[in-house]
Amino acid sequence: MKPFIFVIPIALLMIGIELWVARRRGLQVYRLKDSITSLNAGAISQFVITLGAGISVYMYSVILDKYGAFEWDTSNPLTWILALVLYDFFYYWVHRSGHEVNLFWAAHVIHHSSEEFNLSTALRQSATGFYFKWVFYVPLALLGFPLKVFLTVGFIDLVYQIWVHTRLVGRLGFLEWFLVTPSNHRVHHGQNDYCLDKNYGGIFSVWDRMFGTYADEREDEPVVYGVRKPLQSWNPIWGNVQHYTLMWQQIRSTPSWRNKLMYVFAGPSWLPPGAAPAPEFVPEKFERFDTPAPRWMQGLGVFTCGLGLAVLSHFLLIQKNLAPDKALSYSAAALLAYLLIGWLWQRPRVMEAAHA
Amino acid sequence: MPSLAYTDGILALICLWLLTRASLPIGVRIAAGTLGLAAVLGVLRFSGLYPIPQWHQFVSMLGACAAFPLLAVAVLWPDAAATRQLKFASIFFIGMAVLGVLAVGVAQKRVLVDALTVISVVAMLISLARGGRWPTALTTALMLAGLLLFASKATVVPGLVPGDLLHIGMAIGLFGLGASSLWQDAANLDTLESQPQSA
Repeated sequence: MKPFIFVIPIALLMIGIELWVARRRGLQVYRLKDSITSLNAGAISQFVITLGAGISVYMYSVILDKYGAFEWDTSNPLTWILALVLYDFFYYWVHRSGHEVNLFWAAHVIHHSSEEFNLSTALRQSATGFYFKWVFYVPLALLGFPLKVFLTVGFIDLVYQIWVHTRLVGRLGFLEWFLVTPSNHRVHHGQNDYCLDKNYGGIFSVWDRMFGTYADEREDEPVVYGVRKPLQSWNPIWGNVQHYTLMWQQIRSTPSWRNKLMYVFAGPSWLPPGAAPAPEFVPEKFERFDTPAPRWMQGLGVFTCGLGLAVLSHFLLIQKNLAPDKALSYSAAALLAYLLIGWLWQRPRVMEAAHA
Repeated sequence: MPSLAYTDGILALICLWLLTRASLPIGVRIAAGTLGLAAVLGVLRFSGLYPIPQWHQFVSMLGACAAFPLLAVAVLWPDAAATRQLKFASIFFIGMAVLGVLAVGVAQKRVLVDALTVISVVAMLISLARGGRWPTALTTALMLAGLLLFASKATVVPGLVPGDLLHIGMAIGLFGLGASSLWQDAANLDTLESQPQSA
């Protein structure tokens, strides 16, 4: 997992540049609490995924060994290009299922829970999505692409997606036709009616055009970022589990087994027959979540976030040499610390202090 | 050319016929498509034209752990979401496929997948018999016989290996399901029920 160590400083540098450019243009694209939540969620996802990714690697290796059909020349650039294109195709379906199947949406929703759209949003990743994503990449193992190729193209696909999370880059002309760009990815993060379930691509937007899920950004209707069932919390652990708890409540609310299954496998907006429809979304009336925070709280937030990233960097550096139980203990300790911080922020006395 | 290539060819043709029948629900067609793909890979393998034995094994495993249970769902619950809607049929199929991969690839227990196939076909057989659909029940019983003969490695017909009996049994069983009016009847019943009751 060493490449991720390099992602942290590069991502922070890119965030710094975006902040600087936004200031120069007189735009406010960051809110401190939102960005800290995104960075904390990103760190948590790395603590979990560095272990969870073991599942993907293991399953990929098992299928590759048992059923991999062809041998690929890794010195040939075409092998890598083909693998990247295929990976991105399967990523489209991973991503689409993450939006259109409630169980998988519960894992992915945290990435969309930010009501801002900037480079820190790119880092607000799920800590619970690792258990299902590997399934979609099984065809690559069947084709016999070596594990090294699979991991590398997966990393490229992931890193590409960082830069498209910005409001500072406009439309990019002909590139919009086949690439995922900041413009068409802004649509993906919108909760306006025209944005829902659109633009799932990772690197290439051609998959969206092929399968009818592409939408262009509209100049007449600014994108409102976030989700229809807002997180309304700065707690990154809660962000990872909130939708699971909501789903559990929905399942318990109905005696019908059919409805229970639909709550798990239908889309997140599914409602049982006869239920009152969700209220209409009016973009102009949307209010972003915010809570007051005095300077000491903001300072503490920045400090704990920085500390978390430092601990994560240390973990990523030494993880390869750690026994699985030690790596698990390290991750568990870090997650506990994040849980404690998240819990503290939501304590009534802390909130009272903030209001005071 | 070994007989397995011919019998797999027959199975592939029957599956193709099922695939092209628009009146069949999507769940049945996904199952038929999977079994048909396994049969085509079998033809390529056993005829020596383009053998990819790993894929034949993999898709056959998918057929056993996902296609047969999906067929069983379609027979037991003709109007279920997993029978009629692409999204839910796919989710069911992929979910079962994951269980199959875990059973065969990780736990090395192929027997679990085989047991799932037999349970699925038995469930179909019971459901069809209870519904009085005797011709389809008979073809499903022949499919079950093919599965059991293959599992027992019995050579009951001279010139045919157990794999041939499996292919022939499956071809007959799938033909019976394709010719059945089970899903049309269920759809017609739905249409009748949804008509206004004013008359």
